[in-house]
Amino acid sequence: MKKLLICFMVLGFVLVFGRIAIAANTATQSVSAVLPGINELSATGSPTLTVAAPAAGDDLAAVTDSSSSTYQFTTNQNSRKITGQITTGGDMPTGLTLDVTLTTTGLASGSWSAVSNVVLDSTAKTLATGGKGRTGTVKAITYVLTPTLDADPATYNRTITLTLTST
Amino acid sequence: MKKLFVLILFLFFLLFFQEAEAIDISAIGGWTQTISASNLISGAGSDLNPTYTSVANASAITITNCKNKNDNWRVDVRRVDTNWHANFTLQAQRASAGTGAGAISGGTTFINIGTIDMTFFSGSGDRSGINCQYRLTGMSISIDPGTYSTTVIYTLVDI
Repeated sequence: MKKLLICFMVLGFVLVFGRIAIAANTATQSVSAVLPGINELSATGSPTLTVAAPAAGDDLAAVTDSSSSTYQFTTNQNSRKITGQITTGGDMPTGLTLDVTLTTTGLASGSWSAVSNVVLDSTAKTLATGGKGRTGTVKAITYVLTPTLDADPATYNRTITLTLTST
Repeated sequence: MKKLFVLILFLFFLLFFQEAEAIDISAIGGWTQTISASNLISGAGSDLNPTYTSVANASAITITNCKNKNDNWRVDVRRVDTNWHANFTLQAQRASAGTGAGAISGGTTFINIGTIDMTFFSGSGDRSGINCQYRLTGMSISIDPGTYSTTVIYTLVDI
């Protein structure tokens, strides 16, 4: 009789809780977001740096342009750098030095530091380093052309290529 | 002893009889959103678009085994994260009514899919091809590159 009572109790549990447990079932779906490393850099401007004829007896003066060229970048990775190099026209001729400085203040996000007055040639030089961040608005590129009397009078064209890469 | 054996058999019968009667839910599809530099709002210098929306039929839900067209049910939704970013918000909405003899209502605006069940939509009777659309918000370049995954769980509740 006792066993019968236990059986009825179990039956009751099955009827009540079993129904609840079985009445809900599930289906699943996978949702994924794939986010790769994003490293985007753009630059604009074709500055012309013209060396002025000096007064008699004076040295040639350096020419600075900080308003003709700008750059922007976005990266979602740390340990990044921007390099610069001359990619067409070869190294600067004797008597002319071209150096560059990137503005890295006022970024929209992230913290970057620039190396000032990096002398450009045909090898990649580090211009700025930092990590995850973005410029937001355009930032200035400052070029300085420093001549000496050893430079032959002529027009010299060079292409400067900036690259955002890992350090 | 014999009576006990018969009763146990009866219990098993009841258990499986109910299983056979339970309303079933199934789903096909899913969603993978791949981000790239093309998703920058305005190219270099800008941030990533924060919001992404799947196609309307990313998932199709089917409900079967209702007793009749008046057999009421409710679908709850939640997510179980595998590798999900705290900045992300995942939402879902019902993008179609599907087909079937019964009815369906609710879920036609995006709701946040959290980690606990919440009511998505409800209806009655068998219904197939209920399309669901997803929306992901919170993407930015501050988030480390990687693959972020979660499992959306649709639970059918017989009401």
